[in-house]
Amino acid sequence: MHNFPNSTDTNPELPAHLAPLLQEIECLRKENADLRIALSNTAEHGDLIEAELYETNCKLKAEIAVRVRAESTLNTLLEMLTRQKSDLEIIVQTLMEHGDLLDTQWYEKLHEVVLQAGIDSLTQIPNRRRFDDYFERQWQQMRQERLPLSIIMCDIDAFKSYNDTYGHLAGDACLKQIAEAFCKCLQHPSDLAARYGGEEFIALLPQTDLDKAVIVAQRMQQIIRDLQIPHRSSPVAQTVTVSMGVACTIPDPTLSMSHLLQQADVRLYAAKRQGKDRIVSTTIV
Amino acid sequence: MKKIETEDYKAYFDPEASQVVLAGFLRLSGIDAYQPIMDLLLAAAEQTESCTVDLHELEFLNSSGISMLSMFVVRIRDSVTTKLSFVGSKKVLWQVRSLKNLKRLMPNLEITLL
Repeated sequence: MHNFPNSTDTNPELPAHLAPLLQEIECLRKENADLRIALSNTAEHGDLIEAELYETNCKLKAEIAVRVRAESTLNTLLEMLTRQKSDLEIIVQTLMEHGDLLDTQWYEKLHEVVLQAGIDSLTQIPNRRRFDDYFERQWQQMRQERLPLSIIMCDIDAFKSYNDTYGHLAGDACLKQIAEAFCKCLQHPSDLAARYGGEEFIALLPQTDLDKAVIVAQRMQQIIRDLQIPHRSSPVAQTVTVSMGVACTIPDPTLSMSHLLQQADVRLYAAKRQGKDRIVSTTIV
Repeated sequence: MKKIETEDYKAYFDPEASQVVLAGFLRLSGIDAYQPIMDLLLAAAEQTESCTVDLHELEFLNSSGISMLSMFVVRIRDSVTTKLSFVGSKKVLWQVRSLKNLKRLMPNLEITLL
């Protein structure tokens, strides 16, 4: 509080001027007090806001950390799933290809077995079973096409005495040579030569008439002669010879397959009876 | 030596050679039926740092079998520690192709075709 000299003594108008000033001072004091309160409130509010922001910030940081961890976990999971997916794709493809390979492997085995079942194990040419199947198919086909079907039946002369003289191993070797020579003489892909049993061979010649079949038989006879397989106990020659019966027909519904076979067989035995080492293609009644 | 043997196939682990041998015709029905063989393979892989699976006399392996073998390869790949190799045969058709596919699962898988 300022001490002013009592100026009313000097200036009678002073009290009149002083009163508004005092009032103004009072107002200013109040304003000052209000501002102090306002300032205090604002500071307090600021602190609160700051505390709140700090807390929110902490929460956000924690949340970010959680999310970063989650993202990392998800990335690991994604990586794992991607790898598993890739593994599964490879395994599925492996399985599919493996299945196909097994199919092929079984099929080849089956094919081999079927083939083996139709092959004579000694001579490695078709056996009687395969011949019978093929004969049936060709019989039907030639019947439909009205084309001739010929059969050559061939038997090694005096084969029993060959075995007795040279032994069974030599007999087997002889059979292999004859089988090979017999097959060599076939010219058409549809022709088939087979071991019919023992020392007997047979050839089926589709679309071949009797004359042409006889030419094939003559070729067979010659090529077997040319082998010059020694046979000192043969009553026919010094080398291995064969007898053959040739038969031909155009299959029709009134004829049976066995008829043609029988005809060739009859002619073969006619060749044997007539002295062996020959071809018979007609039936003498 | 642990050995599984039937009329169709045999499977055994020879610890001295660090080698599992599978031979014959493996046609077991379903992945569960292959569990004993899977166990034998995993046990062998655990006992050695470098494990060889000799398949060259395994003429036939059905689809469940190749699944089991695929899963075995994945397990070994993920374990990291074991080196794995397969011995097959060029004469057995499935081995030529399917073993190569397994290499896609584990690029450092060693395959020898006799």
